[in-house]
Amino acid sequence: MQRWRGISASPGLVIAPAKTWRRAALRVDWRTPPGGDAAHERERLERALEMTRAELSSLRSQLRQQLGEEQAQILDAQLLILEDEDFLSVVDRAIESERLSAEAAFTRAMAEALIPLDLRGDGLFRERMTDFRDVEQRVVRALTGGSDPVPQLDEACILVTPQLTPSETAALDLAHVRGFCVDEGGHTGHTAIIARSLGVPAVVGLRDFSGRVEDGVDLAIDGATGEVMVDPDAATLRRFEVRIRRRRQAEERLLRIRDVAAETTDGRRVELSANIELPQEVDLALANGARGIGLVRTEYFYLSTSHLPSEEEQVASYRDLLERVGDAPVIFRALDVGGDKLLAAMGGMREYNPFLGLRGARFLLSHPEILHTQLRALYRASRYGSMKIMFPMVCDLEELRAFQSEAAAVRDVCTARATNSTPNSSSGS
Amino acid sequence: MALRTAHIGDPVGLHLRAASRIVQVAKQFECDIRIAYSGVETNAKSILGLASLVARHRDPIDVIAVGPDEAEALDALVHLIEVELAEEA
Repeated sequence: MQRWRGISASPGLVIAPAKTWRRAALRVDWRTPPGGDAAHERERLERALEMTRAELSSLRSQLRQQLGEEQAQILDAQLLILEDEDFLSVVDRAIESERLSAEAAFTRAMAEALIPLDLRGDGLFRERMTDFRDVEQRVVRALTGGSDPVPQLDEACILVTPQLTPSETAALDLAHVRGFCVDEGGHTGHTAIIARSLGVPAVVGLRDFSGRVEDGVDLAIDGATGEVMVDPDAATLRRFEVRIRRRRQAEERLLRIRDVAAETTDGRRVELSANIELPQEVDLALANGARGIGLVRTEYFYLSTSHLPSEEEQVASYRDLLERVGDAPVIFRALDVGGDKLLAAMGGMREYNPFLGLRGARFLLSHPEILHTQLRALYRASRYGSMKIMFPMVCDLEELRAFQSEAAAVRDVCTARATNSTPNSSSGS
Repeated sequence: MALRTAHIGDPVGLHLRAASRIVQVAKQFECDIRIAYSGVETNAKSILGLASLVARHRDPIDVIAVGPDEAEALDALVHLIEVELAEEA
């Protein structure tokens, strides 16, 4: 038995076989990009490097917070590659004189740089290769926006993987996933969000765990403490099963009071609603006694694709959610991005002090095409339930009025188009 | 030009985190800095270059600096390689 400790991302206890999965190597198109020119390729590369830098920096600060500065320094080498002038000048030359695409030039320069490391072949150097290959993957992924096919899951398992992008998670058959063990990530990453919404345990920040565990071996994970036991012995299994049983009993005790009215001691009735991000969470919320959905954060619908979701895609998601809720009230919050949540689909915009800047209301009002698409989708879906729309991060009356007039304009168009239906919605903020 | 020989203080040798620290410190100086070990010479400001050196504990590596702040650069790097990285290990 082996014991690992990572970062708690979603509580819960589970014993299940490991399903290890590693993203397939990226395919790079070596042909000269049609119509592309060196300047354009260099610009693409610059943007991809910038995105990768942002990714790694946020990962670094997560690690620093959770495991300390020394662990966080592991990522410095990767960050330094992005500004390694010797290396980047080789990439540049390949773009310039051989007319290679940015991804082809980067991949080849990396392969050349790794030759001396490959020739040594001892452990320390293999570790370096992995780190450098990881940067390469990130940069190429940032350039191509590609995501790879996810593993086929046909029985209960704990998914063990180096990292999981939102789009990959969205493509997984989550019904079979009993837990997550992810090498990367922190408490607030999207794996954590997904796992909590599914009510399954997740441990992240496990460093090189996925490369050291065999497919199919039994894992016992405690999502609350971040503990992972590989091939647990009989005594550990027994202890785990006892804890699982106790947990279930505690949950059953709580379920017994589920339908007791939510009332203060002086008799004031409180509406108990749930905040959610995914349509699947509705079932969990209602099963636990929520009377409605007080907040649907719609960011997830955007983060789970590498393009901006179309109106049709959004209508389908919102409709699914509303139908699951039935008659209970649902409040959708319009897209709240900016700040720490950058839209991959937009290539990630950057600004100083993003927490106070172009986010929420300001972001939407300065991107009317995104706002209008979302509002149209919401109004069209509104006939499948009872919904309200909330605007995020409104600062002043002017912003509120701007929203109301945008919303009214979109609503009128939708109503006019769908004369035989009665949109059943109102807006607030 | 200034040259000094430093002995790797870290018991694990020149691992990746140590190499990163060297690059970070080297970048604070204006002068060109090269590191030579066992017949291979590389730019001290390039992580991929440094990563290709397999220097072990107590191995001697030459630090060569050329530029206005070469003396300070050598002081800082030799101290880092011989003392600081050994203490942090």
